[in-house]
Amino acid sequence: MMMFKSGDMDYTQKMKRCHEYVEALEEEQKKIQVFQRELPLCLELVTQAIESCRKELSESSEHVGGQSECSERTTSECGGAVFEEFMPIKWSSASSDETDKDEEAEKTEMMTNENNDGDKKKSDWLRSVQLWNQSPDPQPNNKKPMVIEVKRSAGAFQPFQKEKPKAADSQPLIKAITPTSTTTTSSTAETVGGGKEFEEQKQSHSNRKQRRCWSPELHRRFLHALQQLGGSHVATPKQIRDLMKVDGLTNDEVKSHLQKYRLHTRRPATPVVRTGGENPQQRQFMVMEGIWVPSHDTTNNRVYAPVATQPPQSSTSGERSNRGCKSPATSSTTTHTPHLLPLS
Amino acid sequence: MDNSAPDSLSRSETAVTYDSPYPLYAMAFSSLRSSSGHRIAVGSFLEDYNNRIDILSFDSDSMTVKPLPNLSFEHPYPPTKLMFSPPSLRRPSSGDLLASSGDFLRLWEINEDSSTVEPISVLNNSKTSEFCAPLTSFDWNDVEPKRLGTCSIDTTCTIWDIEKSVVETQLIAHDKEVHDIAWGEARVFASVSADGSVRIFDLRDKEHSTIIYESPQPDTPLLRLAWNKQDLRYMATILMDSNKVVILDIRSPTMPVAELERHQASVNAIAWAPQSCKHICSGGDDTQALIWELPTVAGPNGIDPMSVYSAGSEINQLQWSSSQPDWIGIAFANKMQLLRV
Repeated sequence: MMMFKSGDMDYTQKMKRCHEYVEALEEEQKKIQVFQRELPLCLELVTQAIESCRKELSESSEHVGGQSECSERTTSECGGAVFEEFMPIKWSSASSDETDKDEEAEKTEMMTNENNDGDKKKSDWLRSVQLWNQSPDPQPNNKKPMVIEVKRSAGAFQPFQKEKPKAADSQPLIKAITPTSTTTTSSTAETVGGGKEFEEQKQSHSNRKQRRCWSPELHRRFLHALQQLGGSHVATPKQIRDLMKVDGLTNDEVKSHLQKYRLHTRRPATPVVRTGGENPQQRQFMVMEGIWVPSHDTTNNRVYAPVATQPPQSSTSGERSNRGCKSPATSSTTTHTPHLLPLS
Repeated sequence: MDNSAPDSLSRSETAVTYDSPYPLYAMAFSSLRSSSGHRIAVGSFLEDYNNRIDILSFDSDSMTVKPLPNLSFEHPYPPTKLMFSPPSLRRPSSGDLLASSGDFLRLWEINEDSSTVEPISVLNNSKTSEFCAPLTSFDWNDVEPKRLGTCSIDTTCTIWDIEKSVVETQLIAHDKEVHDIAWGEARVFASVSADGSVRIFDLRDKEHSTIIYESPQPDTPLLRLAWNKQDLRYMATILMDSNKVVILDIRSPTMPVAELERHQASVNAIAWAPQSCKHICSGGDDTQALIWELPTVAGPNGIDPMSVYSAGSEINQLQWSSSQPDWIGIAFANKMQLLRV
């Protein structure tokens, strides 16, 4: 009787364990369902595990039913069943007892029981194999519901809708802003020159030269080259430099001088270059300029040409360009000497 | 002419249209409120010497825009930019000042009762000639309102003293035409140019400038520049023949923080929201005005605008009123339209 009870206890414990497994797996399933989109395979695996545990539960309940049926059978059959369940424990106890003929008979019966257990194990293994075969077939759910929140605006603007079809304009309107097209033309023409100048700048960067001094002779060559090329607006720095034939003169220097010259010639009144006294006047004005700059009250008529630098590093070519610019600025400022003298 | 858009009831409640006898380009909101309503200045765009500036009166309560006949005057050449004086400008008379750029920088005074317009001064930055290089745009410094900066096709930016009507400073800012200028602080401004660069200048250091952006295609001109007044770290610029609005952070130069690419054609105008640091509006040749909200983190699929408005034709001008932040003004063809945000 005690042995029978212990057997029943084993079954109950097994059922409890399966139940616990199912409950734990269901909890995991709930957690994973929150991330259903991100973890589709994981959800599939947990679901299958739950189903397999439930199958085990149903098998255990069938076994319990079978046990109750045993109780309904004839006394001899029921006794046989009890006897069969009793054998393993007796076998363990028999090992410590003395050997008898009855024990030998019992041994034979135990061998038979072992064979039966082997059959059960095989069937279990086959079932697990089937489950394993099913596992490579999961089909993850790729459907991701798109939640589109449309903000309603009370004003004239409507919510923006993606991939809006273009309105087919059978008669495209001419752009009203003509200056834009003009700029396009000029920018196209200047792109090539810009590229060349960029290459020249690279070459200049490797050579760190002193500040370019535009002497009267150098400026005369400059003007002569401009005349040959057809004017300051037609000539390019490279062409001017080639015509001037001055050793060490760079495109950047010519470019800077040309820019100053172009700005200067916008004004109809061209200053007369005094051959003899230009240098002394420049020197005098520089002294005056030194005095003039500190006074912030008066308007400084000087046109500044700030050097553009990239924030990461200061450009050497920029610095050199600055030096080149100073000379023309000074020369252009010389124009105003007569006006400044009376004030001082 | 005063006309409401007849398309739909909701549209008439949220948009007000002014039909002009000529094409419009320049446009400005006034920061003052006169007795008859808020003033709006519009400039004609006729490829002719004879152009006009009209002052309109906008009443947001009755949703009407009326032209003021006494405040319509001639302006030589199309005005490239119009601006009313900032509210920080204190003057003995309580009228409005209006600045216009074109062949010269011109100042006009509109008296309080909207009865007359008086030309105050014509400012020429050329010292030896009676003509000034054409001005492409200008910006009125709202921190130091006597300071106004103009930009020109002669590669220069000129800083004016409006009170004295003289040049305060002139800088050779770029290598090519300068298309737009914008103040950030009392002495700091930035400009964009046909040389494809955005440069920042500080009047305390006139010998240097900083390039904070260059267009990826060499020598693709930059057309417009808008400095975020609510967050001075950010600017916006647009490239010629491009549907991008480029958002720049001056702390990380040369690399845009965002590129807004939902317009179907070239972008013509941009304006930051006056009351928010994260919103910007753009208008372009696709006839659409888009309002964008800049996210803190840009997603991989790009940024979509918050809302859209479809005008009847290409939008050439766009202004977001700072005195009435609920209203955006756009100019397209012969019309000026006010849109409720």
